[in-house]
Amino acid sequence: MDDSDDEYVDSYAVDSVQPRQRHPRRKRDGKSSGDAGADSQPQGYAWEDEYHRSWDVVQEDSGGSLAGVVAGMVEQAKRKRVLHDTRPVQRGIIRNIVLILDMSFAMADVDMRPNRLQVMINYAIEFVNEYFNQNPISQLAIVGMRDGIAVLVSPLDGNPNVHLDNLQALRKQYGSGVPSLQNALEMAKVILMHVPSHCTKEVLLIFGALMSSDPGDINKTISDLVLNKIRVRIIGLAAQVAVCQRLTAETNFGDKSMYNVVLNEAHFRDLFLESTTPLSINKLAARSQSACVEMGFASRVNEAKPSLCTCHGRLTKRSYTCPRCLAKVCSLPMVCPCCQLTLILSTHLARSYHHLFPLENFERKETNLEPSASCFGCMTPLDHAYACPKCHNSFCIDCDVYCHESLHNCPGCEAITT
Amino acid sequence: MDGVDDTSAVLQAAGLHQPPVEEAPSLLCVIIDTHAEGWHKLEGWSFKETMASVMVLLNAHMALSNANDVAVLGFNGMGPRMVYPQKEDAPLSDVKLEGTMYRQFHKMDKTVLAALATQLQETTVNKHCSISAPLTLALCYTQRIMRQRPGTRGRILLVSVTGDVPSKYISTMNSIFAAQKAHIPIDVCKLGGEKTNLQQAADFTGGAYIDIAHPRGLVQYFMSTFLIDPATRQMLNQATQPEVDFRAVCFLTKEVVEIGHVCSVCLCIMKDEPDGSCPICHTVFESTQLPSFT
Ligand SMILES: [Zn+2]
Ligand SMILES: [Zn+2]
Ligand SMILES: [Zn+2]
Ligand SMILES: [Zn+2]
Ligand SMILES: [Zn+2]
Repeated sequence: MDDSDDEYVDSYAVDSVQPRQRHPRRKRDGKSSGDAGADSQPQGYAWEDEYHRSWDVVQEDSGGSLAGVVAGMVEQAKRKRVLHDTRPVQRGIIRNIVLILDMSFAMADVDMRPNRLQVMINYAIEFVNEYFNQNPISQLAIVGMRDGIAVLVSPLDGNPNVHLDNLQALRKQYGSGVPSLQNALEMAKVILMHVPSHCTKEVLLIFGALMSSDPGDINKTISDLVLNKIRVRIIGLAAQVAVCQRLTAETNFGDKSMYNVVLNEAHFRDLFLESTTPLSINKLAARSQSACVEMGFASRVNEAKPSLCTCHGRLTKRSYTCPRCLAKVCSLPMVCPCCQLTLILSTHLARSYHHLFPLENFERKETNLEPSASCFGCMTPLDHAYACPKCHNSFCIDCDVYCHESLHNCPGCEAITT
Repeated sequence: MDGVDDTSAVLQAAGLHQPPVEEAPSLLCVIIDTHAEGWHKLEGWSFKETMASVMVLLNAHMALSNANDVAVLGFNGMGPRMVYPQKEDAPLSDVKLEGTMYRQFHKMDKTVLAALATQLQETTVNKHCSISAPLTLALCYTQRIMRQRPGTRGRILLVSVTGDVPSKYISTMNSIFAAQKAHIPIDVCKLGGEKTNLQQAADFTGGAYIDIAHPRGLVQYFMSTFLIDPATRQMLNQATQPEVDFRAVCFLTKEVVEIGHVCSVCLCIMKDEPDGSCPICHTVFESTQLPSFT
């Protein structure tokens, strides 16, 4: 009787905590079709791994209290978010992304509330806003997969409002039919065909289904994508699929981190928004992806009387003037309709500079602090100090997170005068 | 009943359906430029009189609501420093009262004026502090107050008398973007020095920018422009900037450029077309022919 009880608890625990692993991972299929070395992780099913209970990890302190442990775990979680890779790598900052959204039957699943499609659209809207915030001189197109074909949701454009309107319109639709990876990828290839070589060409694919209905050989499409230097990133909603793994690895010079399967809604959002950071340019690809581009920096004029803009023919008062031909345009960034000069604001470029000159990670100080020690940034008394490796000032965990996530400045390094 | 509904409808239409001002506590961070050189060059201005006007603004802000708070920072060649609130604050009861003045006002006035006067005495010839330094500190402090008292709205007022340090362009822009992200408007009150990035800072974060040429009526400027909550400003007719300078600075020659060449890898701006490779990141350019952006 005792034995059977134990068994029941075990299997129940595995099943309820990792529902997404219920489907056998398709890694085995990949292995059998000659995809040697595709994965170095332990092979097999998730339930064959040893199960860790969260309460096994927690240890009471000497007083029998958990408060200190919990506080430590909270701090660790915050810290984990800020430990970025701070090597100044070359990143492709003028980006072109085709966002492919799965709109097939699989998206009607209700494992995310209210259903996968609505959740995906919500996060896609957030993604569009954040993408244009971080990459102001980049462009985006949106493609949907449904009924075995690819549908163009939103054409390649640098204006976020166009995409937001089109995404809002998607809300009224339901997932239907089967998805076709090949059709969607071919459409993305055509969209990115005449993008100049100094810009990046990327595809971000949200894949809810575990199958794809293709009209031809997808391997040919994959090698076409590699030839066209298009990099594919995939976020899976159900389980790993062998073809996706191969697709991402081959288009990213063997980098396997570009294919991820979501664990829950928060993880889905994190993965989605992670794609807003520009990719580092692989050394192999860097040579053909550099150019010197001529750009005009327009000044803004407030006119007393409205006049027509050259771009839309609308009456506006607030406008920008092209420094080369003095044509009036109403919004930036834009290509001058008269002389084809790229017009931007210098602030558009400045937004990307923190990718190029990242702030170094702060190091946790292990030595005992004086009781009067306080954070250099916000003056809170310190429990644990995090020190900047350059200026050696101490900061609290909240300032550490804020400096690395939003501010990208170190208050101590800034205080050094010249 | 109808009358009430009408007002709310009008407010809705004007996009002003935020909660009333007294509901949201507001933190006003005032950053004072204490470069002695800058003040010396200003003709017709006295530091003392200007500070008197600033104190009127600070007291008025505190008086608007019990929940309102202020912070004051000063910066000069010795770096930025928090002036108020101080790290080790003397308890309020220790403050000696003169006449019938509100205890909190009295304490703040004394601390701020004494600390700023000391900073002005510091001789730091040929050393300049960029505005990025006090802005970064002010943002960290505002974030702390926002964490401790959720719902607090932050604002920053910068009183500037010197131009900015061009080498700190990137850090300055970083702090401007962070302020914009956190919806913290940066108001700029320029008394001297060049325009530089301050105009962009105010424009980007939705703050006011005023270039004051004459010291007379300074209190009027402060009370009619900077005291008003940013949400309320939309309803008032305020001075706008006729033209905002968005021209860029060449990374190599530090000249202001209208048409420049931009490296697609590091986005550095150059006045003249470089030959073959980028002087900043040393990337070799593929073609000498200039492709267009799209
Ligand atoms: Zn127009
Ligand atoms: Zn033009
Ligand atoms: Zn802090
Ligand atoms: Zn530092
Ligand atoms: Zn470069």
